[in-house]
Amino acid sequence: MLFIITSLTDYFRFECIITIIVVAANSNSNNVIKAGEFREQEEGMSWAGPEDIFLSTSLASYLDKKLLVLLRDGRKLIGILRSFDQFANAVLENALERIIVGDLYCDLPLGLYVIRGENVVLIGELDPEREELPANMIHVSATEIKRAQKAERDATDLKGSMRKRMEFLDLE
Amino acid sequence: MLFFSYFKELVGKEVTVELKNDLAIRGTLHSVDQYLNIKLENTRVVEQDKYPHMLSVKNCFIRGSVVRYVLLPPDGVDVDILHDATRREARGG
Repeated sequence: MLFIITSLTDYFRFECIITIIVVAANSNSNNVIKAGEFREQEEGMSWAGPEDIFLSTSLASYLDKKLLVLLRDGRKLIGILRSFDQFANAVLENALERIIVGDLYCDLPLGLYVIRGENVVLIGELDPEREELPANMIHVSATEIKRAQKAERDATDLKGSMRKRMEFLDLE
Repeated sequence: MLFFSYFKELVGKEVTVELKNDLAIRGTLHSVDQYLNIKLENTRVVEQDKYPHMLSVKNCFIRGSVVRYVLLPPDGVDVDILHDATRREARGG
């Protein structure tokens, strides 16, 4: 995280850095990092040299490219990778969240995002030559997608409660 | 470091990586590191219809901590060599 914050100084305006550092300082006072975790953060610097970035797992080859980042909670973020470190902490510029419900989708603009590495599932390069989504998908407004999301959530909740009520039947 | 070395041997082979969120991705193993983070090339999602957002992703980085399985090509394991390496590792060599 330290590296990301320092590297941000190269890219962004001063006020922006102040806010990020304040956030980092707050989280430090709230969460006590266990000694083991801290050691993990200190060790394992696996910096790939410039000559082997395209052969290593390093994200360096994705820098300044448009990426899709899948998070552990299922969210899909899209943005341009500006910085990263060995934990897959990442800085996305012009980030947006892509919400997909059935055939509907919506892109919500988010701005500059710092993603903590532990939440990252996958980082994929979006091929500019290809369509990002199948042609049959329909772009809808933010309110519509929120409504669709809620309807989907309600449907799964209902399914869950129905199953619970039927449990006594011992269906397999 | 046994599995790290082992995965390094598989670089260039076609593997399927199944994630803890049930997403399964098939692709050519490009590289792997000590956390078993994986980079795949020429990827395709096994159930593409369920994951439309993955359509244009052809290269990807997968964080080692979210991997459930890696399915290997049938000729991916030389059992005898792996056996020996395991014993050596267990002895602490």
